[in-house]
Amino acid sequence: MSDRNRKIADGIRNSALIQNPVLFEAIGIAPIAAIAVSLKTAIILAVASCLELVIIELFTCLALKKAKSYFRMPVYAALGMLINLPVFMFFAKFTPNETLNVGIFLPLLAVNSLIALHCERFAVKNKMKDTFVDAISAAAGYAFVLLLVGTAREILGSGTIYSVDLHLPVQLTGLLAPFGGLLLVGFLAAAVKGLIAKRYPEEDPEKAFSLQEISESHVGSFRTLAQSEFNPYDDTEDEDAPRVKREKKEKPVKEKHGKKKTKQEKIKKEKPKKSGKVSKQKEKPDIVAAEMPQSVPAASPAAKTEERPVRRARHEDDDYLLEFDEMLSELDSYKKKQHEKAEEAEKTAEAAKEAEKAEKDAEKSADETAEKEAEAAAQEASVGEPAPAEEKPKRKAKSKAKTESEPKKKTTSKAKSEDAPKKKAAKSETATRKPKKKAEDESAEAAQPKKPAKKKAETTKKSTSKAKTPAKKQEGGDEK
Amino acid sequence: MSILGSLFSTALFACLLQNLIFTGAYGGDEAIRMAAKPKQLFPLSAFIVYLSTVVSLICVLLEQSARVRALNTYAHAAIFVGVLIVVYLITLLFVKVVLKVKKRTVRRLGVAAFNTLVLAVPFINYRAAYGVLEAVGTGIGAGVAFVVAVLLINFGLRAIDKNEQIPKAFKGTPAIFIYVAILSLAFTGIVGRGINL
Repeated sequence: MSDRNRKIADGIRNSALIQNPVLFEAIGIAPIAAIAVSLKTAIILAVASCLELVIIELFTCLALKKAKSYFRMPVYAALGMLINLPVFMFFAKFTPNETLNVGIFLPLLAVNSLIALHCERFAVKNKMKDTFVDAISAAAGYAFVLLLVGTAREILGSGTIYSVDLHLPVQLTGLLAPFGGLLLVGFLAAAVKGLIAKRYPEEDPEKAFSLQEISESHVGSFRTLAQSEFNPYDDTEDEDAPRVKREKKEKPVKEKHGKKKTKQEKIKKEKPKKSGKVSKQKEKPDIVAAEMPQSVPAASPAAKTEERPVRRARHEDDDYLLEFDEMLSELDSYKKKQHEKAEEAEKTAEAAKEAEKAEKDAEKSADETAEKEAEAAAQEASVGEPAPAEEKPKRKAKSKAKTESEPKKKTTSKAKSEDAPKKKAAKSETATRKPKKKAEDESAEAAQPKKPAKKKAETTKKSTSKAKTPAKKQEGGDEK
Repeated sequence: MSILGSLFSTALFACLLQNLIFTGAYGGDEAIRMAAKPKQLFPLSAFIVYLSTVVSLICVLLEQSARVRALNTYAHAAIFVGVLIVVYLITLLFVKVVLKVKKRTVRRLGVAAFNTLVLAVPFINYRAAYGVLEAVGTGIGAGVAFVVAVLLINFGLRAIDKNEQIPKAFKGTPAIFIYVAILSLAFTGIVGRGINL
């Protein structure tokens, strides 16, 4: 018993709340939006629609299961008109004004899509008990929305409830128009959806109204229009098609899949041939796509359920590839900047080297000029007296040693280049000091000229004395 | 020219100036459901135009007799539903036997026939006391109005489906109803109805 009660409760909850025909399936909106302007009209419409739905659904479950769908449709309309007659006569007696306000919508309830949808979807496929539960729950859900919207519009639009004046200060007469009814239905649907999300988080009312095919083209080829299956009442299966035909239907789909794969393979084969002509911009996304992990599903041929995610993925890939293009362009600009900086650094290094070379040359030339001047001064100082030959090579050795040491000091670093002018000044001072020293030395040497002359004289005397002694010995030998 | 003028003016009135779907909510649920399935638009709209025009014409021709004119509203409703059933059966036989179309085409015919919009057109002609040409014009205009409504709703549904900033509670049919309400408000403004807020 508990299982049965649970099933019944689930059935009522699904039909009345989660799959409410008005709020989440968008069925039977015309009477609610156009005519449910007061509580009385809402009651008339609710009673008529509930009676129609329950009676017609039970009748189809009993008698019309074996009939074909295109013969059931006129039967629903005829039965609807037959049920509306007594309802109309009943309300015309007790509430004639409201029946006039309802106008043509009471007979229009005979072709209400609510009846056709529930009969085709549920009554034809299920047993009496289940269809009875479904009929009552759907009727209750439809009546609930009708009554709620009718009372709200009467209170807010007219300032009355069941023709009793409420003396409200504000009246929104715009809500009495059809757009007011649609607005109220929209907000009511949002409120009920929020309640369902809190109370039954597992349930999803959006499933009742699918938007999978919404992005498809209006103008398709005649082939696609002819090949597309259309079943507005049940999108899952085709009732009338026997099992043999269903199997046959599956085969051509598989063959089409195979053909499309071969076409795709051909397209893939063609792509590398054309890659040479592809522009640089297109190469980058190909490279990026090759590098990225293949989480996006490949373009697969066409089951209708697979088309939707492929299209969404393609749209997402397009946005993703554009972002990669932007990133790559930023990287290129960054590389260019770095390259330019490196070039500038090289240029500065080269300029520094050239400056160093120039400095070296200048120093060398300065040293050479200093040496020449010193030599000239030394020569002038010692014109009469031979300058000692030993000092000259010493001086030259010293100057050479100095010139060799100075460039070694300079080549170490740029910071030392700052000391170069100082060194230059020091060198100039030394260069000037050198001739001074040389002059002083020369003067000192000039003050002592006799010593070397004496030494020379002594050396000459010794040489002469040595020369005489052998000569005397020879003369002595001869005398003997 | 007067013939074409009366026909064209009533068609334009029914299609744009007083769009039956937005100003009267006739066939609103069918329009919203077909807007979610745009591939079915053109075959359905073709059937709707044909059925609304033919039913409207036949009902106006029946109205020319005095006996029919003397009947009350509900009797007229019964006549209109009967005419609709007969027209549907005849076209069904023609389509199945002569043209030998497939089941999907037959289903489209059934949905297009038993539609509040198609049945509302003869009622409008009866209330407005239209003649033959005007009745034909309203039939054509009703079919074109359905196409216009479905296209407008479809464009909105695409934007609603892609928009991720809509709150969860308003995703799906709540947003669709509010969007259709705004379109209905626009058309009531075109008609010239004042709204005293």
